[in-house]
Amino acid sequence: MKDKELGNLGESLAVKYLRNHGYTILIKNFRTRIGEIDIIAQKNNMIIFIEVKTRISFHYGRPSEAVEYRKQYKLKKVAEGYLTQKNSWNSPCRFDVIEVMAGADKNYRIHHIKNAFIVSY
Amino acid sequence: MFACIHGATTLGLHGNIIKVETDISNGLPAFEIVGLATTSVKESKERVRSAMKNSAYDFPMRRITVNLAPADLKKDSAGLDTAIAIGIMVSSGQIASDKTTSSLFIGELSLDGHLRPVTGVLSMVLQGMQEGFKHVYVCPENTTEALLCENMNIYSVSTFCEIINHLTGLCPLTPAVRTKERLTMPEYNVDFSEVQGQYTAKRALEIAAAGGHNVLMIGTPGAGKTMLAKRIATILPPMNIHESLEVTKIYSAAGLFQQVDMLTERPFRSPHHTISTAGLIGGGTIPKPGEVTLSHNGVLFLDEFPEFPRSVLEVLRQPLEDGIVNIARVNATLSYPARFMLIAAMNPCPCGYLGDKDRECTCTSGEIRRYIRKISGPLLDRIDLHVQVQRPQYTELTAELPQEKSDCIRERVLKARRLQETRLHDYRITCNAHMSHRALKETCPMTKEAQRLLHTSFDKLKLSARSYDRIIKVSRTIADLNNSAVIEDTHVAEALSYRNNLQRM
Repeated sequence: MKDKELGNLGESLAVKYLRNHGYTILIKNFRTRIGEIDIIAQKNNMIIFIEVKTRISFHYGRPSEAVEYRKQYKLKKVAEGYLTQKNSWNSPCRFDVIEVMAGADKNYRIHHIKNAFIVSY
Repeated sequence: MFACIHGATTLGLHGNIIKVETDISNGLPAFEIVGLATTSVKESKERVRSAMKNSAYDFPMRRITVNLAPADLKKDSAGLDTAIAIGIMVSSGQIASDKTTSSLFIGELSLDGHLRPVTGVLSMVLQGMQEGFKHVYVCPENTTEALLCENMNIYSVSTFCEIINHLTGLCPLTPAVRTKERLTMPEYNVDFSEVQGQYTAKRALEIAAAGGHNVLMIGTPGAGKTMLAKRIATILPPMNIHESLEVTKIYSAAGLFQQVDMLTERPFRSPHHTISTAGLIGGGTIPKPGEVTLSHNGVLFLDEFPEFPRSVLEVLRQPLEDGIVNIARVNATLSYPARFMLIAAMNPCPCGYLGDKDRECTCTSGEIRRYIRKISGPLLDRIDLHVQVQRPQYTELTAELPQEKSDCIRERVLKARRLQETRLHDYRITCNAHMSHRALKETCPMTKEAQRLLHTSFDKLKLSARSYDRIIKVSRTIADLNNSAVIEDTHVAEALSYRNNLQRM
């Protein structure tokens, strides 16, 4: 499986998971010049920016470990772009990370980290 | 929502009340601290977040802005942690804001939600009292110190939970009460009765203690200079409540307050002669108190006086004259109190035996001159009493004569001090050594004979204007010890005998 396919698989699994848990998907793959946010969802009036990380092994660490500070900073910038576009700076928001561990023959596990980080720089 | 909580920091010995304003708004989650916070304050973000989480409270993942006012004052203390955490609790609606009015929150937070002690609590609480605060929350280690300040409700809290439970009325605390008397008589494990002989030196130290004068002891090695100096604290009058608070404040700000209760013993500091200038008068980017300030209201003992670097000794001039040190640095200019008694000890020459009855000095006159010259004239001029300490003879040492106890000497010192206090009350000083020229003119009447003696000696010894004043001050103290209202010629004569005689040797 190619990297891109794996990523897409993970994202569609995450979307399914979110829908099952009562989230509304606002947009998938929101893109600006700076970068991309995998999923933007909404629940109880809160906007949630979600980064999905999919892995098939732990050889390179946990999926969530890949969201380090440069990635966080990028996500923040893109999120700001979204909030400006929708003119919704006053709505509560948070950043989540969804880890998808994809195994062989459609076995997978999902780990949802709510409020994964705050960006202070 | 917005909340305003009060915390405190110190700058030098002065406590500053800091308004901790917290605002929580929607938007991207963030946690910002503004208002000239140094690294230790910036780092409180992580401590506050963990402490709140581990105390089972909700840390809001929203846009949190903390402003520390006044914004132009540099805040350098982890003691603001508690105030920041309470601010977040109030502005996130977890406790009501009216519970925190006229309260001060002082303490560093640990990650598990316990409160840690901070330095300078006394200054902060005193300042809080002046600004009309009623309640203070401190950790148990700081409680005795905070209790020195009366008319305040001091709450001793060991965890963040305890504060919140108290504020919400879930588990109200009672204000701490002091368990001991404020002023207790200090106890010493040395006594003047242990020193055989040395009557001149003892007499000089008695005068010094009675009037707060500076002393220079000159003598051969092993004559007993250090032994005498170590015992001077035992004959000094006990500190009054005001002095004691001052000293406690200094030690608290310097982080040296380890005692369970207030400091009642006059400080006795004896720094080693390798001390640096900054160590002696204070220094640092934000100046910290030095040895002169730590010996405020007490004794600064400099053993091996000429061994101190000259540049270090010269900085003593200002504090010796004014009783304060002004330290100017880029970040802050501070003035610290430094009214101390200087007790210095030195050998008369490099080999140490000049003027000894039995042993011959092996130094050349040049060597002696160079040795003496290490101490400048202006500095010697500021030392009122110069006294020779002779090596005691064998028979003297083993005579086991009953020597006067420290308590007896202190009785006389106290009597003299009381006379001075009543006389100098209007000038707001407590002892003769601190008299200004005006106070000297107005409170030191002399007999005709005394005036004549002073006149002739002034001409003969070529005294400076300062030493003239200083001789009168010493004479005044001797007169006080003799319970005499006017200065007589015998008093002046004794004072003159303690004049600087280093150059003559």
